Amino acid sequence: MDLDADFLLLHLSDSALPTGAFAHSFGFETYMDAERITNAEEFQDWLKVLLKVQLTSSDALAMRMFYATPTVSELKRLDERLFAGTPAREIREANARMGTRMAEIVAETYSVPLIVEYLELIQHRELSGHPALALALATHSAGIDVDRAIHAHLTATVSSLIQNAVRGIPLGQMAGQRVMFAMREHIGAAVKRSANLDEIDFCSGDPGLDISQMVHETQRARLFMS
Amino acid sequence: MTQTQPVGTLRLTIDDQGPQGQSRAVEQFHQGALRVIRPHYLDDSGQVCYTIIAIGGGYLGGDVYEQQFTIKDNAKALITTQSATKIYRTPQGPATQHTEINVGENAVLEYLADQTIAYREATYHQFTKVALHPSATFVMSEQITPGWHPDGKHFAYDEMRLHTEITDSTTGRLVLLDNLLLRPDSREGSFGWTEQYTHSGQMIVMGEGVDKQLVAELNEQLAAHPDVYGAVNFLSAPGTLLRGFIARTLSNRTEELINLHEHIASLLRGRWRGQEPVNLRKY
Repeated sequence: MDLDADFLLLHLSDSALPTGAFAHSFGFETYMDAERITNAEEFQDWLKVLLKVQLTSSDALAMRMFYATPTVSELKRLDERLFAGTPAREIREANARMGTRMAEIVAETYSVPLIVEYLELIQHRELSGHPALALALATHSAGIDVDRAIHAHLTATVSSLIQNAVRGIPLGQMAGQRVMFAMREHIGAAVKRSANLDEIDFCSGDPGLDISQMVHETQRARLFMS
Repeated sequence: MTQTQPVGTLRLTIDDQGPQGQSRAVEQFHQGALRVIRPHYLDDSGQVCYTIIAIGGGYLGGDVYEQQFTIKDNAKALITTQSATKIYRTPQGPATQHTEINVGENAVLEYLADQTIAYREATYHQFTKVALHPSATFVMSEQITPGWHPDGKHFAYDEMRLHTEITDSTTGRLVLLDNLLLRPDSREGSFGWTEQYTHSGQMIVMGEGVDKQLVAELNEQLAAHPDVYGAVNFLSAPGTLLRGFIARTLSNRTEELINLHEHIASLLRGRWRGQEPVNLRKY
């Protein structure tokens, strides 16, 4: 058993990692404002759609494509396409901010190959930064299997969103834990499904989910930055 | 680009060397089911208007359509369709449309299509690649209408994919990858998709005149619209001076979306070029 690899995975996919994920609702605050998300069941319904529609075809597929071609040029291409492939400005900026923080953390700690270069490209504003790519650089270098890496990233993302829902909606702590457990099979399915996607599926979206994230910037009272 | 012979091909290259500096086609090629009506000049701006006709009456399974529009430096063009693009059943495989667009320095292209109607058991894949000079103006709008099913069920098509890439022709940087995918059968839960609406619209505008104030103004207009739900977001990216916006909208009627898109296109051409509103009375 590779304890170092385990440590890296647990460390970097901890939802308490200071990337700023606590500040983003990824659009569920729009549905809260419209009173379409008022309880744990409705929130879980939304979270399943976000996972299936967006996170699988963007974050999960990007990690899989980086693992297939772990080079600087592929990293650049994927960063560029992830940013351009997100129509909602607040989500683009959220990913850039969290991706930069994640790259800084990995550079500060594990200092794996490519991460210093990635961070420099972000700081020189040639790339935007994305948390899924920064994590993939670290997990790939630690020899962690792609499915486990994607699973850890999706689990961390889902867990952060649940914590934000517990504070924002609000939900009871135990209701949040029930949502987390219920998401277990959906996260597993998303990991599997991302293996069957092609380049053409990269950053697929649907109009309603996009609008919920795009309209958030005009909402008057906001708890979250996205 | 594709192995099979396209059912229809259309290539247009437009420059600004016509009489009195009017824009005009310098190269025009069509084959099969795609044609254009002779050009019109709808106002005194010199902008040339071409109307595309798909003479087959609709797209069928396995059909491949290819379009290429090149707008040279300083030229101005409006390209529209004569009527709705209809996608019928596609048991032989998806109907596909590839469009390549290049808009040069200080050139203008308004590409305002009629609605795309997807009927029962239709699968449609649309790929649009747009390369723009940072000083170019590009306006594109489209509307997706679910075709009626005998039993009245609204979303009877199998799959619609509208894949659009916008890049800076001077740096090669991608500014927008818009990959809309609608699969009625795989819809899960009650969030997202087309919400409680039936029709969806999208408009992409790139131009030096786009700023956050314009985006805020359009969002206010959308928020006040009684029959359209949607949002406008600012677009920019590292490594390119291109800026623009994307508008995504939902409604229950095609006309609401078409009118909204024409209203926005008119507002921008008035402000940016002092030009008359878009008037697309079909000839």
